[in-house]
Amino acid sequence: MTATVAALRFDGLVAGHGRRALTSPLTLEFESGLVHALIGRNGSGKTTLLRTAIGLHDPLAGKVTSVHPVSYVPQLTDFEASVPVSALEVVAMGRPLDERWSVRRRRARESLASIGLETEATRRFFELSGGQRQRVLLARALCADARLLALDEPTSGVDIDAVELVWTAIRDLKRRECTVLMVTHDLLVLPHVADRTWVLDERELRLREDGDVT
Amino acid sequence: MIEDLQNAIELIREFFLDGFLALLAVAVVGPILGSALVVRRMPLLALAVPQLAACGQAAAFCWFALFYALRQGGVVEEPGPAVQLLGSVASVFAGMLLLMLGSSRTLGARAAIAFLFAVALRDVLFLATPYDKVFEDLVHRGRLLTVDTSGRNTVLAASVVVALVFLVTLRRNQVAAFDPDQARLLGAKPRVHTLATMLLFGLYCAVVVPIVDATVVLVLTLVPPIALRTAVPTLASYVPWCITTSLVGAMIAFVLACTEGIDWPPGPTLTIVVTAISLTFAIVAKCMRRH
Repeated sequence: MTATVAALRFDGLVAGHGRRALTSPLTLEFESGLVHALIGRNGSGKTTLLRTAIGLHDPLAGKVTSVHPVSYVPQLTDFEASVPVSALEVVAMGRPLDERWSVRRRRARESLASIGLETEATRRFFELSGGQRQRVLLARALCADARLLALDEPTSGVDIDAVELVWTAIRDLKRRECTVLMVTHDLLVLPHVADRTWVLDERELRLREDGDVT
Repeated sequence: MIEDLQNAIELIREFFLDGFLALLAVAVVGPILGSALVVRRMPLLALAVPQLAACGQAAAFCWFALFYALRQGGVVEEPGPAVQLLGSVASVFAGMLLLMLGSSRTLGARAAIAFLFAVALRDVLFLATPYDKVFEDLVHRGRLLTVDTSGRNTVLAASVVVALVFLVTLRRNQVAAFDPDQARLLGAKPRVHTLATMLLFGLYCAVVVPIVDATVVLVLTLVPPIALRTAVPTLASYVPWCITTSLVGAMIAFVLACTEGIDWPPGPTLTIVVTAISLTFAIVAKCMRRH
């Protein structure tokens, strides 16, 4: 019997804003190499928990342990649209700040090519469609050599025709042995994409069993 | 016409070289600072801070006149550069401190009010002093044509320092402006970068505005970055396009201001020329991007 490797571990983690706790103390592990979906009602604290899990928010209590490099893909509406930035530059932002531009550019081109968007490299990021933008951000995660990827509503703001492309890209990340932790409202596709579905309800995070449709 | 231009260049070389070099330095550094403020959605700060510096300069004139007049009586001399700089620095940092109190979402609205308030207070302060003639010259002629060697050196030194700081932190600033979360994951501190940008801009304005006038800093900082923001294709080309635009605009404006038969005041000429050049460059950049 082989022990499963945890990509992410919570030890008594309490996530929240200011002094307001949005979760009770959570102690659990997220298995490596799987797609974990995090669902729950609006305002239940899913995004806060996700951001706390990858170190963008300080926990109110407890700690998070991650063994892999992390990348985060926020909602498309979270970006500053006044920045004139190309798709290639967005992908290159995944690389370390002190890396040489020639290296960053080469790695960014490779990542864009691997996701089928090499022809869009010089286009402005905000001129791309929602689906293309989301895939550019997934390419950024690849470029960062991230093994743990946190996604916040990956299909929010994406055209219905492009949603499938985004899910395909996420499945592709899993094939590359990335662990994916994502917040989503898209319950219909969960069985096709997610290996584990976690429900945040009444400040508790529980693993949803098969057939549980609450 | 060509002869007029040759005469203007000769005039610049003989009498106004210090002002011309100071203008070129601001034309390089202004767009660097402006582009950082524009991508952070803080263009109104770039509007307010130069006027706060000018207001502080007027306050320095006012206080100096009061003390000098009380002690000496009779004819009142102008305050020296150090006193003007002190007034400018005090006003900029007091104003920025007030601007930073409160929510960052309403910073733009507060900056717009600060701009109007600073312009009005500067006018009142100048008119309340024996320097109304200085003020009249300032309004009609600007300060570019009266920059001396010491003023030029101060502007050049401040510009070199600010440019170096920005070049070193350029990538962190760009990532922090576009995606603060990604910047945090890469070990940067977006809030610290934003604060540092604001403080550096404040300091630059406080030093440079008393020498070259608020309009010069304001126009070169704000107009090219705003005009070119939607036109340039990449972040890497944004600052070079802005610098090129403001340099070309500044050179044309200064030559026009020194050309016999045209002889427009430098401040308004700079505003008109830089705006026209910026819009032209924006159209060119858009066309280049489409093809």
